[in-house]
Amino acid sequence: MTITRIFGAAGIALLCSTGLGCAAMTEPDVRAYLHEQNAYGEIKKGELQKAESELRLALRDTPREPTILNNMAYIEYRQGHYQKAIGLLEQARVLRSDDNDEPYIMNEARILIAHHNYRRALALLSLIKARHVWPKDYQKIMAEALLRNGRSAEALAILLTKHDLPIEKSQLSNR
Amino acid sequence: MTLKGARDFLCAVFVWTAVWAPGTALAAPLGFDAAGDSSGGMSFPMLYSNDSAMAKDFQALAPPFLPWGPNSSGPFFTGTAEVEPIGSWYIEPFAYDYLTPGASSLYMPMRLAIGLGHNLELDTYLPLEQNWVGPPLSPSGTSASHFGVGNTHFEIKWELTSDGNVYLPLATPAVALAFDFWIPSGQYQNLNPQDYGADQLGNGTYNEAVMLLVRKHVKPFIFYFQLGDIVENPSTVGAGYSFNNGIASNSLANFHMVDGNLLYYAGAFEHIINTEWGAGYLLELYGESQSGQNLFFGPANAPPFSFLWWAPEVEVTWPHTQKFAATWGAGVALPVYQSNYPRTVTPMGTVTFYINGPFGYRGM
Repeated sequence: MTITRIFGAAGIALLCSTGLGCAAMTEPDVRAYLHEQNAYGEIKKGELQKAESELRLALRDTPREPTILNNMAYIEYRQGHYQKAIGLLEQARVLRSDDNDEPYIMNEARILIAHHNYRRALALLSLIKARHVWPKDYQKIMAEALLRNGRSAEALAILLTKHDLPIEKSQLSNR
Repeated sequence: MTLKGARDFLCAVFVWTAVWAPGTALAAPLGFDAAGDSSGGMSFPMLYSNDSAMAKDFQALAPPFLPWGPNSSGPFFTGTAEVEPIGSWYIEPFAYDYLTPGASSLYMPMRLAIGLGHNLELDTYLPLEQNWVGPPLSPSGTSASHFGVGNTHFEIKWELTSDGNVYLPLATPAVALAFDFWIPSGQYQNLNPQDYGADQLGNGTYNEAVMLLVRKHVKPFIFYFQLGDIVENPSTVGAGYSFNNGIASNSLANFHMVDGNLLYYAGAFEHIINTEWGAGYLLELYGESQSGQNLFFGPANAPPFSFLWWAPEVEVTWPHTQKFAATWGAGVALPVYQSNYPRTVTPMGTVTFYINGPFGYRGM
């Protein structure tokens, strides 16, 4: 009788943990994190539609998470929606006022240059120039932006500048 | 122009001619070409072949890591599959008071755990014991007590996998193998009949064991599981020696004792109510079963036994800082089932002092 009661209690605890009570069901941050993880996996597989629906679910719980907005921008851009992508990246950048805004600035600058909006790309990239550490590929993109704005001497100078190397940002994918 | 300025200028000219100038040997491997400059200015080597190539580097970002790994006291009988990080260690004194009719055995192993790196951890347990025996195990009006060191226990834990996702029940759990050794440092021979067995502090056998440990986080719950097989080597014991079922005793001098194979099983369910304070409760199951056959040494002549206990436990962590934390736990193990084993109630308590190295912060 006692054994039955104990195993019954353990069974109920197990059911609760895998279902109703666990954070994956009850905590918005966790829910969003799991959807975002799924979305990232789908992006890596090239399944942009699935990734988009996962990101929309993530946005419901954490509408102010910059990486979600960045990845939404990625999908919009790949689907040919340039303006939407720019808007999402602007939002992501504004939500990160510290140096963590660099991935969003770099991504926005990339697509601005790709769409010949050189002046705006240069203005964005200039936000990073004064910082102690430059992100990976910054010199290359900044030089590109300077060249496109007709400032070739500055482009050469920035390529020759010795600057602190960034700590590898593990969150950047190599897509 | 200063000397430094002149040097920089010459350097720039050198780089221009040697590296970026179109058509030079180094230009192509570096990925530069002399594609048209759409800015309309002078002809200049481009870093990208054209504007749209730039967009190919648009990067999707992995979600920022969302950790959950509360530093809690944990279960009393079930081990943890995760190993200590290198540079971290902790001391954990336990107290188990095994209460049976007419006897109390306060067993206090002092555990020292050290992270060795390479997914390995070394644990040592040096137990102190305070035994008390009274009626009905001793004549009416008499009792005896004895204090000393019990059997020393060493464990090497090897973590094979870590928890794949602390929020999903079906993600890979943390799995470890543990290799355990016991040394019979506790007194088991030359027992004084006046002590009614209270002076026996060990069972006199060298033991070896292999344990499988599994742990899975599913925030805010943690599940533990442990299954092990303990081989007890034969030993020579004297009159008055109590076998490890705690009931039968030997009456022969120089008796060559062979214990049966000992199975160890335990599991626990933990609910963390407050992550920062490591506050929560546990429900734990624990049992042992000794057969009539030793895995390596043939038929056993020590009595077989088995038991199963369950234990409600509570826990809290205080203080909790980056370098130091202390976790506190208390509970009571209650008998569910026993065969050839005394009905035992075991109040328990523990405190763990964690000294965290650079990789050992807990409580995320």
